[in-house]
Amino acid sequence: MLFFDSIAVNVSEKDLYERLGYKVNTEISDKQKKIFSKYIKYGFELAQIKGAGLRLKINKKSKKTVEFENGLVVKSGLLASFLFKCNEALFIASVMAGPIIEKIKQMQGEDLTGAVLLDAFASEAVDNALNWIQNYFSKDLIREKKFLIPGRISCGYGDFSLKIQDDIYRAMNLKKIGISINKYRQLNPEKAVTAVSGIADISS
Amino acid sequence: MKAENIIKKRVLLLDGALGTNLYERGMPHNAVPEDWCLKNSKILESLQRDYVKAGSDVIYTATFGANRIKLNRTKNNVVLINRKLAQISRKAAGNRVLVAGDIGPTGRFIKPFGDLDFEDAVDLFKEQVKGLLLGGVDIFAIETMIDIQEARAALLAVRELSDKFTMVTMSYEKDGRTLNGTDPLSALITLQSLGADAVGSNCSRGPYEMTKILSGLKRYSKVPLVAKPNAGLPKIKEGRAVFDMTESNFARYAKDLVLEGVNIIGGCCGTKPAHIAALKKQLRYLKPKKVSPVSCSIISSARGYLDLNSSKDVIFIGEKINPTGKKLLQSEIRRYKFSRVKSLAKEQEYSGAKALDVNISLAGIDEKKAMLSAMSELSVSTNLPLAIDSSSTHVIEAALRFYPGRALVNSLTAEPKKMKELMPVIKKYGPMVIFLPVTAKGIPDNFQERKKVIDKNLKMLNSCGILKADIVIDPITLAVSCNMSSAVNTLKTIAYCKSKLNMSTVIGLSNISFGLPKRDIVNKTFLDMAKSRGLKLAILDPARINSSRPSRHAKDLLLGQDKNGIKFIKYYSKKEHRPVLVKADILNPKDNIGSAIIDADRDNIKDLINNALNSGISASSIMNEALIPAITKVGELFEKKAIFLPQLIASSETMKKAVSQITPVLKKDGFKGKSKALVIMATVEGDIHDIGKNIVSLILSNHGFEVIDLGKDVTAQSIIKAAREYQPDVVGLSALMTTTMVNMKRVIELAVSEGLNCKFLIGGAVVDEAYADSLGVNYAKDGIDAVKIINRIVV
Repeated sequence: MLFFDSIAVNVSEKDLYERLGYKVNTEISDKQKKIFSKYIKYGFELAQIKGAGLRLKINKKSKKTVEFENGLVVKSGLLASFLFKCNEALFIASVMAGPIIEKIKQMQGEDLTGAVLLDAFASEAVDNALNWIQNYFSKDLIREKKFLIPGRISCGYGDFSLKIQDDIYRAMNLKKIGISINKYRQLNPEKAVTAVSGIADISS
Repeated sequence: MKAENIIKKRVLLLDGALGTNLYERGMPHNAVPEDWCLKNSKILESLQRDYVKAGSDVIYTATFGANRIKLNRTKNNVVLINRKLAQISRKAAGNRVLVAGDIGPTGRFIKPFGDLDFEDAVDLFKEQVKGLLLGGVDIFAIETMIDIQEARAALLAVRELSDKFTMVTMSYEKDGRTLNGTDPLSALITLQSLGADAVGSNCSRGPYEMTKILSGLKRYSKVPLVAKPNAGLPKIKEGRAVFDMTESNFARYAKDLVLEGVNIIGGCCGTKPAHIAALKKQLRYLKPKKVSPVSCSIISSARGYLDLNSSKDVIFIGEKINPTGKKLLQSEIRRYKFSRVKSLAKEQEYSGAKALDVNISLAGIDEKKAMLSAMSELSVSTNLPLAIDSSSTHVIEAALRFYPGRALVNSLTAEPKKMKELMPVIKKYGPMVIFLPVTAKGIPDNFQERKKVIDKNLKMLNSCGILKADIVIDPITLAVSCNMSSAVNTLKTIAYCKSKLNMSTVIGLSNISFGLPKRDIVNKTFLDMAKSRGLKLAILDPARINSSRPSRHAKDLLLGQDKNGIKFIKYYSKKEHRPVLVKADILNPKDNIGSAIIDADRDNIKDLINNALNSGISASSIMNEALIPAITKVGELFEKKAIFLPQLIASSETMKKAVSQITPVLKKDGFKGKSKALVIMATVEGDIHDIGKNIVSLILSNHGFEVIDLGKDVTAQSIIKAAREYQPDVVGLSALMTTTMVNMKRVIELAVSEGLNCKFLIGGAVVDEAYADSLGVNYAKDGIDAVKIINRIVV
């Protein structure tokens, strides 16, 4: 189990704008661009991204079930097919831990534009942090003649039920990086995400 | 033969990969390499002998992961494993080849970037170093580091136990930085100043990419550069990842690497003894560049650097992280909280500071604890290098040990006690240092005396290995209000340091104007005068200096031509502020208002409405002929994707401001506006996400709907209770999670069972048309869509 207290991710204006619906025909004046850039800079100022990664061996898998070494059993055809060639899984999580979340809440009453930009910044940053964590593990895996399969999936999609969030939360000890979970399996702070990737032998 | 001596004559040739070759020689994929090598020492020895035969000058021990964290063993066991593995390599190397004790990452990030304590990391690496020394290694190789702080911890561990030649190589990504964001030059500056004997890169990249990574480092490098690339980039062939660069192709890049100034070359993942043999052959014809001690006035952070010679302008060091006179900051520091420190750092960075001075001294606090906490926060929140500003040697030492870069120490004086305490610290950690010509007798009165102190101490500092390039001289800036010749003394000292010594200078700018009115003008004037004498750095508030102008009166004052500053004070106490005239464009007020809504000109919309009202246009005309058409146009532009979400919201907020400005006038005129419909909005129970719902509420209000917003995480009972009370035309529900969207169904079922006849509109990230259909309600994909649908179903 690895914890990361400060993940250095970059958030490009282009990616952020695209997240907010920017298309090729969208026109932004220089003045607006300047204002929006100021919010993005502010996002960097307020952001602190933490993360965690946990490798779990797969004990058994069938078409619809995956059993992990810690006793976690996930009934999901989506996850089983995603991990089809893998003998291990990598559970990853990231969270926006800085004062940005509080600031977004505060700003919604007085400056919704800024709040929306900061909100999108935080979403983009935690997503990028997951890429960063995957990249980090990839580097070590190559020395073990293993590799991280492309992509990742999160519970809440298809038959990979959000109910698993509780088990992931406990297995990864996400409390350590300041995340809590409620009865609806929502992570708090709200800019917190978990995902699963697969580890396979290069020879496979 | 010593590594240093070989490097003087030719390129030092390292070995190739161990891991990838050991797998090919039978090491199972799930084996712990160190354990397997101990049990199969003959195979390891045979591989290493192959490297010796291929021509390697150095072979690495098989101890890449032999640390307590990766092996999960006791301290004694770690020492033993390292010793035994080093002995195997020693045997394989014989007497003519050097053995490098290999130290790889622990796999954990170190504070401030991770959760592993820095001193714990140093201790962990020391266990490895002890074992490797007992096993007889000749040199050390700290390799594949992605965290500069971990590389520093490993280097300090070696340095505190041995003076053997030590190489440190980092692993860089496609973007030319380590995963943790460190660029090659920052790493070089940080590591060579901390005592690395060679610095460079290994793994991750092939030789072509590594040449680009190391390109340009030579001119800043006091130590040999190292390159240990992979055999190209891994490619997937028939489902297998392979490094397929041939030996000859691999060796071909040796020339480019040597031309970039690399003195030590080897191979990493995918390379074999044949690659090293090919390198050996190629290197026979290549003469490496000499390693010469370069002047290097550069400070660094974990993710950036500042070359003092990179700019002709004066470089700004932000002064604001200093609690003197700042109550809010004082109160935070007393509680060991540093959010204000972080925001001051960013604020100064945006105003043009290229480094930050950090002074945390405050009576009654543990300054060392506070400084380390501030360093920790700043190291992750800004890329700017830091100047450690403290009068306590203990605080400076602790900060230098922990800081993941090469800092600037503020400051060293010529006082014997200070010299005795601080010099060993500076020599060990290698920072740049600000030197003040202050002796045990105090500050010399005039330029000549300051010059004498500088000359005398420079010789002494140089003899201790602290070179001119490592020093910045502070000529001392005293208040001109206390001493009329103060500015002149400082300016003469700056000019002397620049023209005679060719050395950098720094001033604490605001001292000059203490006790005077219009301090910004005095500061700016003095800064310009100092710049013309060759000043390199100024510690100041960058935001204030950027908005200031120099003046002739201030110049006279600073040059001592205005006795007691009488003219200056008289001139500036007379000067009055002239009101700034705001031009009001009244040519086409309604068009201007419409444009302001579309362009989201939140700052000017109120003035534009007032101008229109003052020019006789009625409030109802502004509303119906300017505001409503404009916000409708905004909706159309959004639908066509000609504007995107932040612009839509900014326009909506501008509209909100306009409406709040004009509503009292409309009421006064007897205009009875009627809302198109009443809408209740809520995010359903369990869901804490409400930004989307807030956007929809804002857009609905701007389009003439009355909105009652119940907030987020609202129970079905509360929504129904509100619906019964307000009798809305529409209830809008939002949810972002699959686990909470089911609560939309509960609200609707409850409404049906209670006989409420209002209409429902649902939306949110996980909600779609099909789900709405299943509930028998309407669905809107965004705020503009919501306007259309409510217009259709209600109005």
